[in-house]
Amino acid sequence: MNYQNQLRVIKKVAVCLLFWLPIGFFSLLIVYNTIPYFNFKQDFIFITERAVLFLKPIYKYSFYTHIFAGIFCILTALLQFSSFILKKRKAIHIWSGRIYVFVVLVIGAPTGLFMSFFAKGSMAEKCLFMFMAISWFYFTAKGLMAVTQKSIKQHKSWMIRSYAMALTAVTFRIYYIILYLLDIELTKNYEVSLWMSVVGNLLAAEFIIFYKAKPYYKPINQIV
Amino acid sequence: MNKLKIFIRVVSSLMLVSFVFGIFAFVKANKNGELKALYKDEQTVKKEDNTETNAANFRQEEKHLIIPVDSLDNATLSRSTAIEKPDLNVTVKKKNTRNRKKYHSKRPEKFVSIESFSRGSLEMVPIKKTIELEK
Repeated sequence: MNYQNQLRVIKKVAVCLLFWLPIGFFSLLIVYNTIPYFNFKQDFIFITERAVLFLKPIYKYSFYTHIFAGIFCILTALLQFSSFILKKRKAIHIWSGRIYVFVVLVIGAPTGLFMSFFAKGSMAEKCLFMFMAISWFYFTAKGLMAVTQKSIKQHKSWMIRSYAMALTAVTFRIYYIILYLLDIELTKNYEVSLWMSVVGNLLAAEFIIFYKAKPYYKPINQIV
Repeated sequence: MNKLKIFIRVVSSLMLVSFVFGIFAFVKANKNGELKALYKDEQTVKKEDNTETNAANFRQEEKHLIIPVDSLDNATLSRSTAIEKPDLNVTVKKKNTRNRKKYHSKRPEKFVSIESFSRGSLEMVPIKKTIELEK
């Protein structure tokens, strides 16, 4: 194994440890924390502070379908970016991708959009939740359209953006815990974490897309 | 391709429907004042808890403050005399002192009652209250 191959392996391991391991861990943690909601008890903090809303069947059903969809969305999305699955077990990639797209477009985004009107925080945060739901829907739909047109690079880019939106649920909680440990007031903490997760994830997605597309760009001196 | 287009149109209309439903539900909830009951921050909850505790304490004090008229001395019962109780911060005030003797002699079993005690608002915490003697 030459020096360049060694470097590539080290890079892969580092990315795995620093990126996918925490994301995988927190994604599974969020799924694990969501499961107790399906005993349909009302003694969760999330539900008690929205007690008035949970009296309305439409909000209640939206919430439960949204978190149900969220579990599938997070679990299937974790499989999508594995190069091993993509190369050796393509059927898993295709089927989990179909589940992801269906769950996002039919359940997750519409229920999220409805619930965004009653989101915690000021009007800016409500609008941010709306933006999240709409952009999540748009990116996923574009990704689906790209793959049916056999445009794989575009499909990858749109799906990275879609996954970045899906991951806001995870990154928001990470930021929230960090800011909580820094002893920041809870309302401020909530708002800052929310903005950081959405903007940060979008920027990270664009950076990854740019980084992946870098080899395809011709250096300026070659063009000239 | 056609199937995909139909699917995209169906889910887009689903999004539109949820958006319209959201607007209607939001306007309705806003109209009914239901949004105000949501997401009470910790400070408000604490304040409310304190109010509840204070109200409970006050009710407790209310019981203690039922004082037999006999136990009040002359100074207390004289016209427009008030007693300041620093520990409870309560003002005891006599409403009508004209029939003091009569009051004393005939109705010694009567108790002082608290009249002005309003519950319900967050600003009810100050305990300073006026107690008026029953006729």
